[in-house]
Amino acid sequence: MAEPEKRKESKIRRWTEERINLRQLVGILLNIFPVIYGELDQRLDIREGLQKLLKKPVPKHVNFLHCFGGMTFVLFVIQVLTGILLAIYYKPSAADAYTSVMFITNVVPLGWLIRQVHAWGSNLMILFMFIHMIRVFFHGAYKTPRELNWIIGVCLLFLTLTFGFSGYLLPWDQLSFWGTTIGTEVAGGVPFIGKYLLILLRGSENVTGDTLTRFYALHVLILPWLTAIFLMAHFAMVKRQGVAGPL
Amino acid sequence: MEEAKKEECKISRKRFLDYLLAGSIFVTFGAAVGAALNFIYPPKKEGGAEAQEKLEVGPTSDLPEGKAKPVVFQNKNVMVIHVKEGFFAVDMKCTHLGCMVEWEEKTLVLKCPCHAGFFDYKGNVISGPPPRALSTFKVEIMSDKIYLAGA
Repeated sequence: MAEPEKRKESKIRRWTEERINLRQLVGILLNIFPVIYGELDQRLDIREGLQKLLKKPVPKHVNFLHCFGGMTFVLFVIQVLTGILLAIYYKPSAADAYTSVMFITNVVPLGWLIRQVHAWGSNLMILFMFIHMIRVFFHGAYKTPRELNWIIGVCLLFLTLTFGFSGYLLPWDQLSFWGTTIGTEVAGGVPFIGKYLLILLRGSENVTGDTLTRFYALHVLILPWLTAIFLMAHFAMVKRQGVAGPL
Repeated sequence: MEEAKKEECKISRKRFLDYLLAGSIFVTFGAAVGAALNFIYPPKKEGGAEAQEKLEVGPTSDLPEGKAKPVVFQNKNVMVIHVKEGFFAVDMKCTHLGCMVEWEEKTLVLKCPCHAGFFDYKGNVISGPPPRALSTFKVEIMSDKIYLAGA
């Protein structure tokens, strides 16, 4: 009884081994690399550029404290990707905003995850940005010749905070409504121009659907592009001037 | 023979670790892309248009005798008609080539604007090219309100 069963088992194993060759499978995936490193490389010099990037020596004094800027950038990329996904279902109008957010959270597959990653990512981005700023401050990395990069960094700080403030209104629940009411009220306290600033921010006397569309445009169209441009300048200057030396 | 095959299959440790790294990167990003695709594919809405069993058209006073009103019911365009004989509802899609029929108040018939097919309020063909009668829907009147209920 045991003998034929054993033979059957080995037959099945041989059959699978003959047909599903793991090495072949890996080989198919690895065939993509030769195209990039082969034919494409011959024409575009990809390898040279890649090697230059990968083999660029990191200064000895660089340690984990220098990672927070990059982590902030990774969080920004995550915010962009999850934000694009959320924009597929979100409806920026007073009538539909809350229902569409509830639809994302409760009905769309993994919608709760995407929404929460976006919400947590925003908080973490601000946290890591501040750690990065504190690091730069205590290392004195903002000093000559890097003053301009510090200024651009401060611009990015305000852009990120505006991101957070405008995104807070979008779920259109009690929390976001009153949060925005108070936040814009603060802008209304500015001497002389406060009154006009308040109207400019709200789009009307009170926080209404007009405020919502304004904040939505700010959040998904204006701020991302501005931030991307400032980030490019930020990185270009780091590349040009190098990482600041030790104290 | 066996030895030779083994020799052939040998991968260096460095190569193996390379594969492992590349594989884990593929899996990680694949999972993220899979999740995103799952998110993008539109979910079925609860109580969606397909499952709609009843539709409130409006109060009977809004639809006096001789008038008709187009509504969307179960993803179909339906004409609710009020004539002397009572309330009727027919599918607006002409059985000829699928144009939307119109209600003619003067003659109390449904007319297809494409090839002049004519139907009566019950959806039966009066004249023209349509091969079949229009499909009909049940109309219910409850406390002076018009409801559409099933085919």
